[in-house]
Amino acid sequence: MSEDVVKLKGLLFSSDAQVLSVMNQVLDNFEIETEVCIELSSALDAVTNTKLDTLIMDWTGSDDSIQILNAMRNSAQNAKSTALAMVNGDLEVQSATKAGANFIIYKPVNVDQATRFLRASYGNMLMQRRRAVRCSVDIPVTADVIGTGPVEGKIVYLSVRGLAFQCRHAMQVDQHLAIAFKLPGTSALIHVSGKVVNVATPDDQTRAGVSFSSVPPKEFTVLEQWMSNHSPKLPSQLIAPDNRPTAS
Amino acid sequence: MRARVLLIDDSRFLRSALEKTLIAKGFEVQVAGDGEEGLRLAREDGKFDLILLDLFLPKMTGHEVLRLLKEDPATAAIPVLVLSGLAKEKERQELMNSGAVDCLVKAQDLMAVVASAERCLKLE
Repeated sequence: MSEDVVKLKGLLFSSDAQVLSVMNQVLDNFEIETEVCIELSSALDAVTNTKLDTLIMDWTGSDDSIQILNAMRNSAQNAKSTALAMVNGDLEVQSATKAGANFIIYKPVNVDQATRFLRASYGNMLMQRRRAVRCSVDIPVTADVIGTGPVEGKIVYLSVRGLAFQCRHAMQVDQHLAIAFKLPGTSALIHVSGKVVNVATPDDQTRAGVSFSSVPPKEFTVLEQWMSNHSPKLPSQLIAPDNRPTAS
Repeated sequence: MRARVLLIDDSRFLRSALEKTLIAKGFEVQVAGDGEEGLRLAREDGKFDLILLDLFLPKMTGHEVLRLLKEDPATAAIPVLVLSGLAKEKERQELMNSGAVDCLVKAQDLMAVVASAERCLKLE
């Protein structure tokens, strides 16, 4: 894997030495940079303050597990990250699924099982990471702000889910707007409409975070492709079969 | 002054988990990923309050490390808590006869390892 490929990041929450030993081998093969926590406080700190692609939890069924998963789902940067739960039985499946786990595996885990488990969820992690990527841009535009009219400004960040619009006009959360812009270096015109989800005021300017509510499908595909070409490279494929670890 | 712990284990995840938890408990922790490095750190420093030693290590086994630590006057007095994948009472006794203060089964909950380390350091 080349050096400019961005590694996925994970958090493993387990104090079970057997689980740690197995997951150590498996996660290394998937090139997922993993932090390990065996205590609630450090796990809560990580899910709240670190951008994670995946949370892998030893689902003890206790309040700790639920608290950690809830904290991740409530964190802006990790709300859509992939959560994997290792459970002891059907009762724990129910509580893990209810709390928002995306993938479930039964314990005890071995290397082969855990590899299949990670393989199944890896595509989801990559998809979420691609959607979360944003590019710094400088695109002068005139936004059509519903109820206000045309507002001149520029797009300073762009992602497939939204953009940051900077202007000298006051903006408010929940305002709706429409913007048409050309992607830098192309002639592709993109028409988006969306809603202001947050507003900041750096250096006497207004910066509005806009979440897209509508992008024409063909233009969305062009935007996705452009983002892919202008973002740090992600691992493009799953673990190669000949790199698969053997069961120990 | 914070108690100083040397952790010798080749499992990166286990090392990282124990290191982070021991630091959070207020200990100063140094880590080594194999027997040779662990022995070198123990000899160079010599002022550890506790050594957590895995038995199955690359380059030099935990048994050898324990023997050499106990033979060296500079490190002989440092309590060594052995982490073993085996749970047999006979092996536990042999390790304790070789100078280990206790032998813990590595497959158990790591919080039990942390609790044992805390108990050893309080006894010291």
